[in-house]
Amino acid sequence: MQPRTRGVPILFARLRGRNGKVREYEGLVDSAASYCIMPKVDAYALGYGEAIQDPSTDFITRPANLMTVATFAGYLDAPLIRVDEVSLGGQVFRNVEFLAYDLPQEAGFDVVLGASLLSRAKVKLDMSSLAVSLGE
Amino acid sequence: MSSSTTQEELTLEAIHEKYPNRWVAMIVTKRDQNGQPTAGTVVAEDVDRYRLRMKLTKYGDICIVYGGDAGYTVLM
Repeated sequence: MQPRTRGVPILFARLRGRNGKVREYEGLVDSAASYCIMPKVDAYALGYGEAIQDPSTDFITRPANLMTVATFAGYLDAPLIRVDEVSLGGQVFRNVEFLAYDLPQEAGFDVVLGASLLSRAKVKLDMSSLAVSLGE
Repeated sequence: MSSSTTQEELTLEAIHEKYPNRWVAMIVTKRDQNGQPTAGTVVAEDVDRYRLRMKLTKYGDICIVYGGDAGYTVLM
């Protein structure tokens, strides 16, 4: 599969939520990220109400699913959810961990596909061409 | 910048050309052999991804892309 844009590897992923709704995204393939990331608004739309907890106001009763993660820019807190079903082409995975976190809009990506998904998938990435292959 | 959407099928490349720097929601109409979308019908678009989401509440299955190239280098 040939890359289309942006100078970074991208891959479409279909997410089926707890409520049966489906959202499909052009995700940034980032094997260095421990978790996948998706916008809070979409996590909520897919039935994960626990994704919209506000870490800045919930610090007294810290939610059990709130994760503190280290980034290049410091630490951040984000709710961890398990998306019922994620499809990469014909590969289907259940209970995939995502952080509900809003990336800057200017990045042009809503979703990061990290190790919580990639470690279970058959994905080949040619960084010289940014071509991504699915399957064996 | 036009805020109109079309009901015609557009390739992914055409969507990127037609909606640069805007968030686009489309119903996928074609996929490649890997199951990756290659064409679709645009049902909504907006410069703001949150306003786009407000237009999508009625859709049970929708694909969201960002048109064109992002203006910033990505460092995750």
